[in-house]
Amino acid sequence: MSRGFRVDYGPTIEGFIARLLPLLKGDYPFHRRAVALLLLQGDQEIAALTARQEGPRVRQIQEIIKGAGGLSPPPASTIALARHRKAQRIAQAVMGKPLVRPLGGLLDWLTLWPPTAFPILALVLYYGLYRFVGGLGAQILVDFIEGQLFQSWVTPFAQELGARWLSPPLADLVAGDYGMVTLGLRYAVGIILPVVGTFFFFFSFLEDTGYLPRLALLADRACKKVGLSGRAVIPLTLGLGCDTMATVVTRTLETTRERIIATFLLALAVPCSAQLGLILALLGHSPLALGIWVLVVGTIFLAAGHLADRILPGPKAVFHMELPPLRLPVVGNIVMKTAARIQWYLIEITPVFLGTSLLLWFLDQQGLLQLIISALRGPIQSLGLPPDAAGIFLLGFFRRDYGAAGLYDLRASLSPIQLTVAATTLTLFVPCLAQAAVMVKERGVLAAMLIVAIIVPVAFLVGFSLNHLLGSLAMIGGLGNG
Amino acid sequence: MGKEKSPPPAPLTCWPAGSWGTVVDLAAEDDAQLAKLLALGIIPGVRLRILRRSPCWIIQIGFTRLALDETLARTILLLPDHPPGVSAFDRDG
Repeated sequence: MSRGFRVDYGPTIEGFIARLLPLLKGDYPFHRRAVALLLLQGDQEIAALTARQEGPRVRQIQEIIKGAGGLSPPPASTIALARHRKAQRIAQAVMGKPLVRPLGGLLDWLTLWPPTAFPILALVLYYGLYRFVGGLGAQILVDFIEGQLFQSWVTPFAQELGARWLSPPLADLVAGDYGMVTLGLRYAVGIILPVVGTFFFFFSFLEDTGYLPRLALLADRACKKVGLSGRAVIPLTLGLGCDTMATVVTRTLETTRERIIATFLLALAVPCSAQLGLILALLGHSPLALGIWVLVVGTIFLAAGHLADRILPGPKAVFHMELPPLRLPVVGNIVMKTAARIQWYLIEITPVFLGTSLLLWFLDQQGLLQLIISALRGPIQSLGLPPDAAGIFLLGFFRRDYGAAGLYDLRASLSPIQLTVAATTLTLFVPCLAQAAVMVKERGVLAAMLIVAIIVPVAFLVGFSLNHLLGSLAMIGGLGNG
Repeated sequence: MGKEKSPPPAPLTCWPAGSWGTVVDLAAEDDAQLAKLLALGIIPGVRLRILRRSPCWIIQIGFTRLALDETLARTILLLPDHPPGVSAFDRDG
């Protein structure tokens, strides 16, 4: 049959294969022996395909599979073992003893032994995420691309083009407050690209050194507390850069259940870099306010994850990962992987930002933005905030950092309590529109709407309670004046 | 059953780091989990070594090292080489 490579599965399994082969007469995308093997291993997809293809012979086929199902050890196990042994023989024929690298071995051990592994993990995250992505990406590169290129060149150029060639509403669509160039493109390329670009570089570096699985296995226990496996550490940390991007990356998680929990936590309690920067600027001068914000958002993250884990049906997350040896990274590999990911970002995420600005422009043209803002005034006042903050919260939905930026403009007129409450509520409050769009795309309309329907009341409830709690504490301790 | 008083098979999580043993059975919860273990190369009949117990279970099978959580590690029924941890032949088969 097959001329070259073939695995012998032993007389029992081969017997079953021989009985199945004459019954498989349909049209299959691959060899009939492979179909028979998949059937014996209990593959549901191929069973459904056979049921469609084989008509009257299906009953006979099912009977044979049922007979094989009673074998001990089960066919899936026998087949896997036969393949494993064959692979072993091939490997033994071509490979020598595994290389022993003393330095690699020591480093390997240090990155796995908990007393050294966790400090190393903290260093990697500090230099990789905080200094490299946060410092170089979110500050230096954003200042250059957004601050210099866009502010001095692209935006004025778009405004000039719009003013010269287009009528007012269309000129706004290109270069207005919600213009596709001045908001959509500037945001996608000027603010997010430097952050995710540096993140991708860091990520590819970790991947190429073989450190990434260690990161996941060290985080596994902590992630289990919120119903996720160690793998989720990747989208969750990416969320600190851009939640929209991170929501796309939840694809890498194994089960739908984990994907929903991760999407939910990203939307609720993982602030993105744009938001994080402004909140730090807002609360940074008061360690107490910042501490309260961290405590509240962190508690909500843990509590929400824990509750989601308890409530959602389905099996608990399990963790397994191959652990490659550590090695020196190859620059060419890192550059290539980073480039491929940036290309993917530009193709998949840029249209979301462009679409978002199109929608905002439309709502603005129709006067609907103002309408929504006035509807929000009531809930905002219940948080102890001035009604003007309503506009900020709405903008916060469309663009998280806009919300925080608006708050930044209002900061002089707000008390420390009001600032803390507003910053906390905004962090928890609905994701930005781009993130919501990606949530719908990745998780479906129903799950996305459910997530938003949970987040909005939770954010307001937490803000409301925090306002009252801090108010009462201030009356006792005199925190209010400062 | 053992000729030299080898300990009976028990879940992988019962044995100390450094133990060598043979996978005897997989107590997977469902077919999907069984398929996952088999795909990882954890197959009844295969020899493996327990490298670490924390922060995660790390096992070596042939040239491959795998990290597993407690849940998956518990499903692997292992027959350790007689005095656990002494035998050191990396002979697979």
